[in-house]
Amino acid sequence: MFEITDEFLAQAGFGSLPADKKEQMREDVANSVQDKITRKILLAVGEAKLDEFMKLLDGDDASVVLNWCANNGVNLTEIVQTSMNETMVELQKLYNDALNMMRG
Amino acid sequence: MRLKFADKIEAAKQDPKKQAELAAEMAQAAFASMQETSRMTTDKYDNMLDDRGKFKKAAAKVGKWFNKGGKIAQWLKLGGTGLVVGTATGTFAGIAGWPITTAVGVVTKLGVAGATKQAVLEEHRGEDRIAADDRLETIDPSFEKSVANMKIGDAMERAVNVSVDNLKDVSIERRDALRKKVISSSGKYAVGFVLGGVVGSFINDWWANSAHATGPEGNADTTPQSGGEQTPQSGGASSADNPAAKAIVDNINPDTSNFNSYDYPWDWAAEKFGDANAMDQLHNLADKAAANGHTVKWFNNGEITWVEVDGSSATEHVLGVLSRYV
Repeated sequence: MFEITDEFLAQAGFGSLPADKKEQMREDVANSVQDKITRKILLAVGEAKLDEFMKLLDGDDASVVLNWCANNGVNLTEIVQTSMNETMVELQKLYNDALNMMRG
Repeated sequence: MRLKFADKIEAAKQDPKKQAELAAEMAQAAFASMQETSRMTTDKYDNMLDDRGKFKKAAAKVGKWFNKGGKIAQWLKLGGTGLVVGTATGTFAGIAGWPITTAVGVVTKLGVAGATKQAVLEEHRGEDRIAADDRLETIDPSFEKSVANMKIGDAMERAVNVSVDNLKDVSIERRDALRKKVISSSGKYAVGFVLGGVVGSFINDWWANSAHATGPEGNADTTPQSGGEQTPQSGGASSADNPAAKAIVDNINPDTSNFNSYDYPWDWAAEKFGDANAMDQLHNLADKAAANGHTVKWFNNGEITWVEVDGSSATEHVLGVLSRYV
């Protein structure tokens, strides 16, 4: 689907990670973002329209799903961006917490 | 050994680069642990909803759909040509100040091109954000007290159960909000646990594998346990650094175990404090014993680490002394 870039990890404070740990981090972050996105999408869809949305997901035409979202107030771009933003903030906070812990 | 380790941390403090490297790896370990906690919470939550909700099924479908490379690329393409999103203009003013295209490398070049055209976000969307004070203590005021006497694993399980109890009989929107609170709160505790305990093992690994750890001093604290005399190496940071873990540990009453049943002190410590905290607590107890006049020496032969108390490294003897300071 997508992958977290080195630039993103670096901005979050993880640019110095060794290769193996960076790859693990990349995977963990991607999963975290995807989880955020999924929950936001379902929250935006709402329970009332969930069945309708799920039927569209069963289909194989992405444009139908995407247009349905656009017409029903589900802003996928914004959801993705928000999820990325939230993740960035979380990671930066985590990194700073660790740094502060080291500094005592 | 504790002091040597402290020296290494101190050394890192004098070098901003080392400090940053160590912090990054500590945070990476913490995040991995948080993800695991999140997965545990999600599994529990989803299991609860099996017979009453659609969320799990829907989430699985969304995840499956979202994971189809062609689908997401198609979405980005459509978005880029304006078929889906009509608000992809303006100045990005996100919290972290970076556009999506610098953060997400879509597998297909087409996707990147599409994403570039719609790299916009309103700064204050936030309708589903978690308030700073939304923590498990708020959901369940007794949570903090109830976990004080638990091992870390049990405390995490308790956190999940508290969340699940509170997720019953609410709408999907409410469930989602609560779920996020729970994950956030669990994450908070996970961070505490990790930074106070689990990261200890990571720190040792980091030092062991780092160019910063040189010579016998560097190896002394870091060699993994491979059986033999005594304590498997699993920790470095004291739970004193971690209020949550300290509260848990401090509330564990001394037991009356027969120390003959343990092969190594670590086995006893792991049983009593949990694997993640075992080595930390052994060091902590050894420090207390030393402060009370006992002669404590830590050894490392390149493969294993063990402790000697008053000239003896026999497990029963060592535990007989250390257990007095629990």
